[in-house]
Amino acid sequence: MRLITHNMLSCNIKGVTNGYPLGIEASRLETKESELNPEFLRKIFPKLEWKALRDAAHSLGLNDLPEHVEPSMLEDADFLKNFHHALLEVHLEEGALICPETGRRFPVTKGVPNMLLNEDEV
Amino acid sequence: MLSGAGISKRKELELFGRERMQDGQEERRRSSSSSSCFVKPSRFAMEEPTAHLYVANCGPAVGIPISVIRDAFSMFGRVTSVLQPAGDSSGSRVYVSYVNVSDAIAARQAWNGRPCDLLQGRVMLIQHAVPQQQQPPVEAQVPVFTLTKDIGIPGLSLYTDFISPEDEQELLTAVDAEQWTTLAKRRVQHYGYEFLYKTRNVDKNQKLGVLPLSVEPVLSKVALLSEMTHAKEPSLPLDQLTVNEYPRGVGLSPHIDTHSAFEGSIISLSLAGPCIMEFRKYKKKTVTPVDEISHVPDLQEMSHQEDGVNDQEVANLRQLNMEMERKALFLPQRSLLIMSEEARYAWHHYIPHHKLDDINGQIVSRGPRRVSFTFRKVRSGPCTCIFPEQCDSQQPHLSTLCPSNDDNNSSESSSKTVPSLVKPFNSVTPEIEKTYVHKVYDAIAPHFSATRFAKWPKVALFLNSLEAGSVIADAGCGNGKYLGLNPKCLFVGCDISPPLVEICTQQGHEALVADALHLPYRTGFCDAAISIAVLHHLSNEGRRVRAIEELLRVVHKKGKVLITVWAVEQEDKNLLSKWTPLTCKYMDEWVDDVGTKFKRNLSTSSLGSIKEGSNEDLKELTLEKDLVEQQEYFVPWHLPYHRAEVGGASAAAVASGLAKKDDTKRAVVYNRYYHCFVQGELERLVSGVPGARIIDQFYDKSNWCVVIERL
Repeated sequence: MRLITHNMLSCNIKGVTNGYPLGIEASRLETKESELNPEFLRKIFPKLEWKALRDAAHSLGLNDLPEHVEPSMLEDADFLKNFHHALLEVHLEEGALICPETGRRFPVTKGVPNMLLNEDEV
Repeated sequence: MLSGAGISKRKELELFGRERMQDGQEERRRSSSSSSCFVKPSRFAMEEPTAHLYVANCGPAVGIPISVIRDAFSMFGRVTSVLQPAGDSSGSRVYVSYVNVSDAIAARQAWNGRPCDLLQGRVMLIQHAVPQQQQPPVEAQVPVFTLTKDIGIPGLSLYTDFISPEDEQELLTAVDAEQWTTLAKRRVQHYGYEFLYKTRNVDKNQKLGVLPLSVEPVLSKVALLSEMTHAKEPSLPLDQLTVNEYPRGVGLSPHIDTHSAFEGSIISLSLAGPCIMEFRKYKKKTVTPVDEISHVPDLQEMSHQEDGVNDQEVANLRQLNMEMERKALFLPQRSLLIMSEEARYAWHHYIPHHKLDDINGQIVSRGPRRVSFTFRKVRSGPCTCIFPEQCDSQQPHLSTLCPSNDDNNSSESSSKTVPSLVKPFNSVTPEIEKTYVHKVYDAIAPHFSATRFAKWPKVALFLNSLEAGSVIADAGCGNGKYLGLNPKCLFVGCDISPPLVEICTQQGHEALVADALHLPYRTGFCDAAISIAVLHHLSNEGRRVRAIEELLRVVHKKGKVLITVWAVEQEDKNLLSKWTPLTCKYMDEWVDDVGTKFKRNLSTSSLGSIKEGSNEDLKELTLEKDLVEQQEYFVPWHLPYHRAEVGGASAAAVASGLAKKDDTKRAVVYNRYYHCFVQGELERLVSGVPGARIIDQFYDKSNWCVVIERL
């Protein structure tokens, strides 16, 4: 699971009003290089919750994302590189995602988050 | 008014002569001890004549004792046995075995499809059967008791002839003069408080009034019973009455009356006709309370399928018999049943949907209708019974569960508007999807994936039409064959089957395990969503609608959603013949909304024209086929023996009865549940979802497809 996915994931347990963003517990990360596509990054940028991305990256030990961003940064090659790396190259392989409201843990195994809810959570 | 018979509690029934009763018992022993180990050849197989005949539309349930059948068939040669199919409680099918094959052929030629004078003119369907090896007997038959002292369920009492025929008539006349509320299967009247089927409870603040004067004499008589005067938990005054009118053949789904709704005993007077009531108690908690309440399968119905009893059903029966204790009580006309304590709080009660009841070999016909008067006392505080597993007061989540299919159907059809056809969304995954969708895909994942690579041009066209940089959610992505199809977009797949998702990630795709009805995405994040061949695996309309709502929720305004589903209108008509239609009995229990539809059609068009008579069963079969377009199917998946999966998960699946081996095809065969869509159905569902605008819809390659835009 990459941080782009993390940025869209939300805990939708019945009754939870603040299930976003999910906390991350990482026990194994993997980096898989991929081609940097500035056009895609510019396109996806406005959809992202930047704080969620930055905090998530931080929790994985990726400290190169600035706290505050503005669209003009998308012209900066260094920024794009760090952005691309955090968003698309780092994979959470083993660990868990944690609902900020309930503390419910969604396990991540072999890179796959299991977001299935129990019958009493739907 | 109640001047007739005095209280004749536990009076021995004099329905049957002693001799006949013994005869019946002997026949039963004979047929169950040697267990019928036969299979009826498939409809499509070439028939190889054997010395054994499968005879349908004939048996104790249609009034022909085994001994009479034996005598009749003996005119063609020596009959070695007449057996009832294992696991078949219908009592209208038998296996007749001859010593000589030629005798069996002669019997079949003479009587198949023709009225048989020796057997009351019945028209039987006769086929050759083959002995089956190693089929352990299944005790599908539930013992039927006539006396509560024998049944061994604490808290159960039965008073026969509780009121006189004259008083019975007065009560019936009184209720028939009142307004009935028509439910899907039966009619009801509520007094005191209305019983609300949606919550399975009453609204304690909405008292309708006192109970009608006509039942006063019954109430006074009940008040004198020792069960009332010596009750551990007070049941008086009885302040709620539900009158149910069951047409012949209509029963009641298994249930326990909501603990928090009523206290003390539940008292039920049977008028106008008899029936049997089955009681079920789970031996261990292998089935969660959730399943118990919403999905107790109807064992007797399961064995009623047209194709006879298949291995699957036998396995299901065997497993369920292991899980629960089942006993039945015969409720004669004018009897009073009292359920207290354990009988009331821990045992499910259930009325099989039969026209004829088999009381240990004696066939008792239900009347044209049965009217029950059920008296209860509305509870004032929480329930503190000693059966917490069944108690919604002690386990509050039980009260939020969906009502049983039976009652749900009822409340639905009682309202007139079309949207009410959509069932309230049931968040708990129905058993049929867990067993015949999720488990199957988990088991066949690698083989499924190896055969699912062709990409459908229409889906590709949609995906390629999306702007570069779009985020696309594939909800129910399977093996992920569409993930990454448009390299300029970002795909995130999800599926409920972990083995399929694992295959996606092995291919380098981003995918996670999630339910299409509860997408774990924040609202409006995606530019597009696709649902390819997913909705037809959802077993009721509320769930299909919910899946559409979720797809729309996760895309932003102007975002697009593509949905494709299998069509009933298959281009290759031969395919349909390879699928197993779910019978209406299956649908009634499992696929709730379709059950309603079937019932409605049946009752409005043709039920009245069915004549009681010798060909009744045959006519019903024909009706089933003609009345409604079949939409519910089991579609087989053949997993070849050479596949690696056969050794692991499939061995277990075969052992548990989920799959069966087909040696001629050299494959393990799984059944997948499908609800095939009819023309216009997908459009109708989408139109009912707020914020959806259909921008394209088409039929292609046996699929109905729709492209929606979120407004």
